[in-house]
Amino acid sequence: MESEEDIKMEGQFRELIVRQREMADEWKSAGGKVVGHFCNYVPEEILHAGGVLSIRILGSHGHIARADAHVQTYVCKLIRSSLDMGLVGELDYLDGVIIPYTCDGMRLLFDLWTKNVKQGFVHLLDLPLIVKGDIGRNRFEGAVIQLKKSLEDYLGKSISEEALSISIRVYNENRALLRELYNLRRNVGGMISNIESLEAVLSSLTSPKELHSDLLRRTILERSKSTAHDEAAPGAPMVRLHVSGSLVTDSRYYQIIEDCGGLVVSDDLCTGTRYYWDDVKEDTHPLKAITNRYLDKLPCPCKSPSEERYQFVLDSLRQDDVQGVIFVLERYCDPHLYDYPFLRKKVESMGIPVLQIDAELGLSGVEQLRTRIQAFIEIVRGG
Amino acid sequence: MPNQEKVTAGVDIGSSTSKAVILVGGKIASYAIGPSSVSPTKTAHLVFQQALSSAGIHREQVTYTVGTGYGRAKVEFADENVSEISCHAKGAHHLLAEVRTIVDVGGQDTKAISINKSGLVMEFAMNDKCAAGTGRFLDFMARSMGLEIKDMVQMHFQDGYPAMISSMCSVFAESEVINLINEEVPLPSIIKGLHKSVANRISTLIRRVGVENEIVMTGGVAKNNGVVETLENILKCRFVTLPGNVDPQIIGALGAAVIGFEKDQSLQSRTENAGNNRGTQQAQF
Repeated sequence: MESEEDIKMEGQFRELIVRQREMADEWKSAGGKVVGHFCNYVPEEILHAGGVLSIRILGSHGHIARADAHVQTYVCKLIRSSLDMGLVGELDYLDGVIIPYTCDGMRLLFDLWTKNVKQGFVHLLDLPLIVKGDIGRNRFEGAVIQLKKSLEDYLGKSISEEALSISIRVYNENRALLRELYNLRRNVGGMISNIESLEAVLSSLTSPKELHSDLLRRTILERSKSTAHDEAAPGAPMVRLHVSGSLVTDSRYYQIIEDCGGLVVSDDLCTGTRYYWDDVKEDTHPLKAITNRYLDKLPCPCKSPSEERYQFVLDSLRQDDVQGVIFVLERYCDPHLYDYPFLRKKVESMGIPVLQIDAELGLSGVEQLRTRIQAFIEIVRGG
Repeated sequence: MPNQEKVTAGVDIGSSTSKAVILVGGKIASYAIGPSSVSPTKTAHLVFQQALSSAGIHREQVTYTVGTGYGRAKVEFADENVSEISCHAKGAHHLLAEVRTIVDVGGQDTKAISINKSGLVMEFAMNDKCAAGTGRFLDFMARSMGLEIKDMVQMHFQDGYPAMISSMCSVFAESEVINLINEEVPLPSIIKGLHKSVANRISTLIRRVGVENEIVMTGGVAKNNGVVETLENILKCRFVTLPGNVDPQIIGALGAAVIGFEKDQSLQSRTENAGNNRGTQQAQF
């Protein structure tokens, strides 16, 4: 049984998500700036070193009110709903937005943002298509230097190397803690629920890092102390699943998986491992180290080459503890969708069943999804 | 109690109709089909009671009940609930051991299921977020033409070429139908066009899991010969017919009852085995 203390701890990441706006306002009233960004290619360390609270913009689950007048409906929901948030004023509290050139949609979002939302520091971060090799590296290093320079101009102060080194450590610590939590959830059954592990990452994307690391540290300590309790339903053990895709921001996906007897033990999401798997080297020149980290990190399918991503997914499955893979694929995200048949074939050849879910950030058709996930888990269980 | 007398039940609460099947010793003793209502809990009781009465069986005699369909979680008296995908697979395999592909076309969704020779689900494809290619689409069209489904089936076999219906969306398809009526296109042509549109949509789902013989169609729309024939022509295959005039609409409930029967047997053998301290971990679900 869970103690009251556990239950109290469990809601804390969610509380950070709920209090996201409030924390941003507090940050601002203390004299700081708050800047939003997209994807996980923006070196947040630079923002942190400049005293800026960086907020990852994750779109919304609701209907689009105004963005459809600007973009076609076959643009992904992340871009459409985020633009919509900007247009209706939901993001007015931000002092700026940094958009990386992850994909063409993002680049065009920058133009739309500049023309229609116009607020404070709006910056397009150049990002090479080919992330391996000197050409891409030199190009991105230039872009990182330019980002730092533009930000310094906007803030009216310079960002020292020392400050950068401190910020790198702060971010590395948060990543290390997220990895620790990830390994714990994988190794200690029932220690952390599907939803809580998702919320731990989602809250990291929008909270002051020091505060978030502190909560992570306390959670890990607390959970390691209490004996691992397996929350599996009597009779049937939880089916261990890997979730593959880009963004999962609606916790109902994980709730349904859990309701049907599934436990998400690993993922390759950009709201998951892809955000925290790689550290910035602490023993070299900070901007160079930052450049290298963001190019060498687990890549987005928008970037080439893809082998590293494939290997990461397959290595996750080679640990012999994953019984099924659920691909949660955002509609109109071509790079993820193109990768899917290849990955699916690879996974199935390992004898692991696969389910694909068509997603548009927030889920619709809860019962249909429940049927599909339940049937999938029945397949994994073998009848 | 010998297995020959064991009574199990399957209750399938669908989006438009609800079904219950009673098995005695693994054989169909009775079944019932009724409309679904806004209260799945009540519907479940009603259809279950109906099936019990027609078999002359008391509720207490049923040893294991499995719920399935959209309202599966609302079948309060069920011992467990299983997805309709597993149930249709189980039901079809129970009747036809050679079946490898099952197409279930219900009121709200369509599922193509591929199974192996033991009846285990290997893969499935299901429509999501859209009722194109389902019974609901046809109900909607029948209503806009002022016809009953049975009239549509009958008219399908009258002379005429299928009219072109290009919209998958029910709302747009309805306006296409209205246009065709205004252009005085004969109803049999419009109906054939609609059946073709539904069959096309179903065929893309089937192709996602692969057409492997034998193939059977289940669910309410399997009773619509117009759709069945059109789909057979598109896929260039013949569906196998269910033995003994079993209603294709009850296959999900049948599968649920069969799962109950097998479960009940394995529970039985587990208890029996527990007595001699052996094999207690067998027969885990």
